[in-house]
Amino acid sequence: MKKLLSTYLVPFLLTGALWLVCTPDRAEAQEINFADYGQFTITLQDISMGDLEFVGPIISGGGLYSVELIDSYVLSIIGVKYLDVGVQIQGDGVLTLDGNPEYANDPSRSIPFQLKAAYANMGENSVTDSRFIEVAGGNFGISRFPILARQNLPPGPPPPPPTEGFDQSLVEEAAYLYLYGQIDVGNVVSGFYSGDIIITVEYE
Amino acid sequence: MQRIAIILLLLLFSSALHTAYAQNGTQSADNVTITVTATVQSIIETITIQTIDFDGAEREGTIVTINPIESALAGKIIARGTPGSEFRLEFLEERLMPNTVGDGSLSFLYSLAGNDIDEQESAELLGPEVRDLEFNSDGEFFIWVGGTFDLEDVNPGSYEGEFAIEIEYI
Repeated sequence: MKKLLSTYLVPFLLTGALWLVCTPDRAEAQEINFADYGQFTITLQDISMGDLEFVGPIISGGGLYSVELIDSYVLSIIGVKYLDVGVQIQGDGVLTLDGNPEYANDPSRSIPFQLKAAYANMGENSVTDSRFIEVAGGNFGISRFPILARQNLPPGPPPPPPTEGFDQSLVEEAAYLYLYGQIDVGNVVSGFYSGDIIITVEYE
Repeated sequence: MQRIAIILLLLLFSSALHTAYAQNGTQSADNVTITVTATVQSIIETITIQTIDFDGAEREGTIVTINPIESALAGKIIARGTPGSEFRLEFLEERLMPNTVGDGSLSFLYSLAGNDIDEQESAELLGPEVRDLEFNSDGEFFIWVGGTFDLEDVNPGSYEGEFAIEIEYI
């Protein structure tokens, strides 16, 4: 019996312990997360195309220049309408001359950039339906919302699991993401300035 | 041998269980990078190189004229800005210049010519509002200032006036 324990049970327990260590934290188990029940796709589409451009003339030493919400850069998030989406936004804090990151701390070759963001999830691409996403000083913001707002109704039924006959397009909807903001142009060298905003979306 | 086989089986079972669990938790995600851009232009400067000189100006009857393309008496201004940038130019065509030592005033009608090279002869006449001008590769644009006035009914005296020109990036 002792031999049986040392031969089979100990390796089994060790393997089990190893498995537990390697398993992601499931502490949120009380939350019903329908997204975990299948591999639904989510797509971030660039509606505006091109760049979030501060349109000129922008003069060196000219101070604040803004892209307003109404003129914002628009992206759509296409996914299963019942599900919540987590959005993470990370923008550069400055635009640099020719996009060269080495100028980030050079006040004559960089322009402070304050990113602002909003989303609309009423099924329409409409800034009037939009809600602000809080973007902190480091131009970092996160938000979570359903692809289609529940409009004070209880959550709908979970989507059917994506079996072979499942057609996601039947339960798809688009939410919209708006990016805008302002730059503060000091006495900088004239030229082309640029920076990046990285947006990541995933079901939550 | 049997012992090793059982341990391997247990390991395989454990691994399969973990893989299945991980697949169940897979979440779809997507990301996009947007570029933010701004083109900054330098401040526009105007430098007066030469003022209008009326001594020896061409005269027909009571009409005195300084041709901005042909006359060496024309004033000259250099505008400096961002190379290759487009700009618009506006000026007041007619100015009333007061007599600084007596009564009356004199109506002066300005005329301008511009060129992106420093050559007066090939400059083109500019209207009071032009929108499609461009700084050259050195960020310069050359302007010659002439004009005309009528001496009839003008009292003797000294007349002084300003010339206002406005240049803005488009």
